[in-house]
Amino acid sequence: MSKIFSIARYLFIESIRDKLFIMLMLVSVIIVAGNFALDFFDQGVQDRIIFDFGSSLASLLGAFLCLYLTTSQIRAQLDSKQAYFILASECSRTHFIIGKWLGSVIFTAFNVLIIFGEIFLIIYFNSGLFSSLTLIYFYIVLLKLSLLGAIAAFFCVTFSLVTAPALSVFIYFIGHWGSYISYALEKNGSSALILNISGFITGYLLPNFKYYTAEHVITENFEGAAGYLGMLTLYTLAANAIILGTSSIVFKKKDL
Amino acid sequence: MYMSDNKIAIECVNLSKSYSSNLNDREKSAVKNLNLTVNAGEVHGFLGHNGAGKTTSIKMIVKLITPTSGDIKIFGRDIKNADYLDKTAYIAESVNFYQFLTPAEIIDFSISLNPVSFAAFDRRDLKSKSEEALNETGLYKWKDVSVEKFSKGMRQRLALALCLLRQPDLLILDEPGSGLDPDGISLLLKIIEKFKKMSKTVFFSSHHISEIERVCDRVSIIKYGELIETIDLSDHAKKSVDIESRYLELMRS
Repeated sequence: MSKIFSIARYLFIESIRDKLFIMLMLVSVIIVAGNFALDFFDQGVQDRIIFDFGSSLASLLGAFLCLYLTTSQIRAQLDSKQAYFILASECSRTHFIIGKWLGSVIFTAFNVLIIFGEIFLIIYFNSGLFSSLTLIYFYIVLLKLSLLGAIAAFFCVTFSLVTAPALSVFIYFIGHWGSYISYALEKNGSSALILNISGFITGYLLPNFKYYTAEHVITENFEGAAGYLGMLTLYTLAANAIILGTSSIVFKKKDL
Repeated sequence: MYMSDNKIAIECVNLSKSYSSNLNDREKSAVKNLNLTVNAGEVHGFLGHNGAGKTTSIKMIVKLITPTSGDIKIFGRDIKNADYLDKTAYIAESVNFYQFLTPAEIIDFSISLNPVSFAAFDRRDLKSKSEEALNETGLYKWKDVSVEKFSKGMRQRLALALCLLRQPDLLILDEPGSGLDPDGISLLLKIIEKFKKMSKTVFFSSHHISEIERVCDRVSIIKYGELIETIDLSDHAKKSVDIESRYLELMRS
């Protein structure tokens, strides 16, 4: 475990010094803060605007960071032979993959936390509300991004620097819009078999990103919301374990 | 786990590697039935033309690629089931590190990844040993500068500093002289000689016959994936061998 944490730790240190990430964070923080200006035109829903826009931006930035980091830290390091030194004599490929994934998730979480913290503070100072939904949604976004990171890690051990993130985005897209794909197929008069296959792939075989929304938490009472978050955590942990486990097996057999 | 008292450091038996070619679906052999023995404590050179299979052979030895057939033993232990080779250090032809970390941090990272390798040192000594290794490789004044500003040769020196610090039983270098200036090559040969004095095993590939002649006890020559000769260059045999003319003769035959 110490090797995994060590890889994750140094990935974090490396990333926090990257000017690209610092710039991205600054721009995101400024954009979210800029929402405050919308107060001049508000209809009494400014908190909602700040929350919706800010959390969407945080989710989008997080997805970009997660994909970029995982790709640059796994695929690019393999292509540039940077990883050879440690893979030959310092850690196993399983340690490498999980360490890189963990580091990417922690760094992404750190950045997303800053934006959610900003949203929380703006709402607090604007309306005096203690927005617990902001914290809950941060947690949901974090779970979602950890899953996206695991998918990206899987593709990074097999595909090229361009194909790996493209496939990850594709799976992310299918995971969000799977039910619409089934709906479109149904409208086009596809056979029951095709509909069943499509439903199985988008609903069960591929990770379902539709679970990662706040609506389930808002509509439930406290027990229901806690239960939903618990189930979502278990689902994410299981999916991450399966994807990272498969990545590790594939990576062990891969010639570098 | 390792048997460092084993008399053979690397033993490759009938080692082969084939790749399928996308153009005509034919298998292309990069290495064919390589039988190579590197004795413990010797400096062993690996010579061959471009595309002869040196890097492929080395990558199989360090488990970066899986052989199509054949066996590899490191200090008597079959490496098939090993995740990585913890008493071995490998430096690839072009070395890269985390670009925003400093040499001092990269050393810390290496120590944290493989603390067993540094167990011989007292924790308090480790810092002075790190500085010593950086000093010896001419990187001490750069120790707090991020690696992104380093040239290829400086990265190579950093990798050598890590090896000096870890003192692995087996040091494997793939074209270590490429990217190094004459001063760097001289340093590299000094480090190899230092390892030799410590009875460590060094196996390295090179195009530079002068490097091989200066430090190697034996040299193996590979041509089109096949080992064609191993020449003894130890002190007693050195005088009678003109390795350059022998190498050229074998390449032209």
